[in-house]
Amino acid sequence: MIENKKTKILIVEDEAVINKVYADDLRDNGFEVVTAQNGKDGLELALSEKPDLILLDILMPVMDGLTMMDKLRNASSYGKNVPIILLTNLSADEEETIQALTKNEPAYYLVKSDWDLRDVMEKIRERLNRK
Amino acid sequence: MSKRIIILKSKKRALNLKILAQRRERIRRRLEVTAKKLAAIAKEKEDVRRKLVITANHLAVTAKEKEIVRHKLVITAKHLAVAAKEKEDTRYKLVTTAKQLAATAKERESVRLRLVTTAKTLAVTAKEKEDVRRKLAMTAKNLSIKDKQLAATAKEKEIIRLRLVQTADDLERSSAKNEAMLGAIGDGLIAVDNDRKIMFLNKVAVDMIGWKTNNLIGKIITELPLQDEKGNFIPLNLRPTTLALKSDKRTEVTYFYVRPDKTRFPMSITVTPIKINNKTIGLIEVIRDITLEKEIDRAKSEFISLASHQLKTPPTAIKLLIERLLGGRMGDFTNEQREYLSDIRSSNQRMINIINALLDVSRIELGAFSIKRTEKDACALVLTILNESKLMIDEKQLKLKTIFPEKKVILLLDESIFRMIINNLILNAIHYTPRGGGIQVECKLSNKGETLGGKLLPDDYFVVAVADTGYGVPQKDQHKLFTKFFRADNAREKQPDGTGLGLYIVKSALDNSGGMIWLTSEENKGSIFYAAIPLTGMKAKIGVRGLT
Repeated sequence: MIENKKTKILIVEDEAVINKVYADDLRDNGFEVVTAQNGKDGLELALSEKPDLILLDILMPVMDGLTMMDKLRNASSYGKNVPIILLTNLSADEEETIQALTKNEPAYYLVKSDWDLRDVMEKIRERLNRK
Repeated sequence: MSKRIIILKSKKRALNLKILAQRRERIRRRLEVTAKKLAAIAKEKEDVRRKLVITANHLAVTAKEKEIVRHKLVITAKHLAVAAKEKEDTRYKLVTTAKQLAATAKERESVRLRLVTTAKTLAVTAKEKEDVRRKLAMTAKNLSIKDKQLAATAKEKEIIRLRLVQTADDLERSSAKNEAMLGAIGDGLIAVDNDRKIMFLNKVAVDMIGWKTNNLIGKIITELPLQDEKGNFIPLNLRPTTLALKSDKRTEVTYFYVRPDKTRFPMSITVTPIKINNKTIGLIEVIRDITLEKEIDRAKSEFISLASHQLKTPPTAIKLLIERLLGGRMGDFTNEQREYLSDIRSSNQRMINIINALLDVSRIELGAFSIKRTEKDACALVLTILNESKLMIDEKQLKLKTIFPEKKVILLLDESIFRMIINNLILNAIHYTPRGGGIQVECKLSNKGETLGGKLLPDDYFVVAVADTGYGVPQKDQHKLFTKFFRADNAREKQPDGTGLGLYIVKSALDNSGGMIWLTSEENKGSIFYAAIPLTGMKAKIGVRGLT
């Protein structure tokens, strides 16, 4: 039955510790979690696993988050519609780009250093319910 | 015939007579009934007939009355028709009379005007004649004087001639000096008249603009294309020459100038009105290519950005790890262990706060931030910011009073910078006032020359005054209050968590945007902090990003 299928979340974040904490917390809250540590792996994982929501860091090696998001959105119908929440520390480049992005699509973002796990969970639930 | 038969016949006859009599009686009775009915019917008919007669009479009367009324109406209608016609005639006559009067009045007026004009012309002619006569008298007088003067020595003439030669020489040298100076200025210089026609440019300006000098002299300066960052052309009402003419003060702006080959570069433009005898006779515009400055700004900003990211990542990881531990899903802790973990969390949060504040300070010191202005309802914004702290105010049971001007104040503001300033002052008031105290936030317009909080205002400002009944600032510390990392002793004691950077950042933001900050305070009584923003709005500043 579809109801028994857990909601799957993909975390793309290069800081191992942060990645791990988010993943553990989400699993404890009943989500299925897959993770990647750079944009390239993240893109592959997104297209193969088709998660219900993606937590996406911006500053990452190999391929950054915004490039990955762009490629994902243009890759397939799934890629076009999957909800994405950007993770940021609000450095200069990030802020202006995010502001530009949030005009064209409801890209949510959260500030890692300011947000509790509780807030993150709430934001995720909010974004999933918007579908 | 037998007697019996006769008796029988008589009986039979008697019977027949009886029957007949009965029959006749019945018939008589029936006839009586019928007669009564007929009488009744006749009576009814008589009643009906009588009623019909009465009704006919009535109708006759009514018809007669109607005829009378109709007759009267016809007469009245005729009277009215006559009256209307009379009115129409009268009106027509009035209109005609009015037209005639108007024509007459008009004629009189043109005659009158002609007379006035003739009178003026005659007066002018008379005056001119008088002037000419006077001038002739004067000239005659002068000629006689001049005769005498000319008779004076040729020596004086010679002296004068020599002086003239000297002055011409000086002028030429000074002009050459000016040329040299103008040529040596690294910035471009453009002089325009009141119609904004270009009268003069120095070489640097010509090179920067990229047009031929001949094509520039006489051109209206607003023909030179300027754009904002996004590539929108600057409308006439926002051009620096327009702003300078409107405010009659020196105006500084930064825009992108578009060269003839369609490339563009960032340009700093300063326009100053030239005044002679308090009358503006033109404008001087100084222009400078700030591409290099912007690149340096960008490099500084990127450095801070990178440092920020690197600095914030470890404490963010710690924050999340502690949260997980304290969240209860990783096993139980003793009370003491929980307390320690909680202390680690607050220490870590302080570190994050300090890092954020230091990054702001770096941006301020390096000047690597921008001020972007949009029109905002200043008082409404202050109220919004105040409401965001309502929970804290209520929790500390502080009494809040607000005073706002009646009219809306629309100001050119960078919203995030304004928020930071007001938020900072409000939070300080809350943190440094004991439970049950009071806070007052007042917004007002203050004019040049007014004294507010002991300060004489050099211009017109929009002022936000945040007052509290808190610990106050000791006199000896007041002048250090806005310096980096400074915390007064009493503040340190009451609130160990402050960074000492808030007021420094607020002051820098205000200084950079053309505003001011000052305070009055008495220890243990309370303080009033005044943040003033020029009524002409925050000064714009181009930078790579905003301030937090």
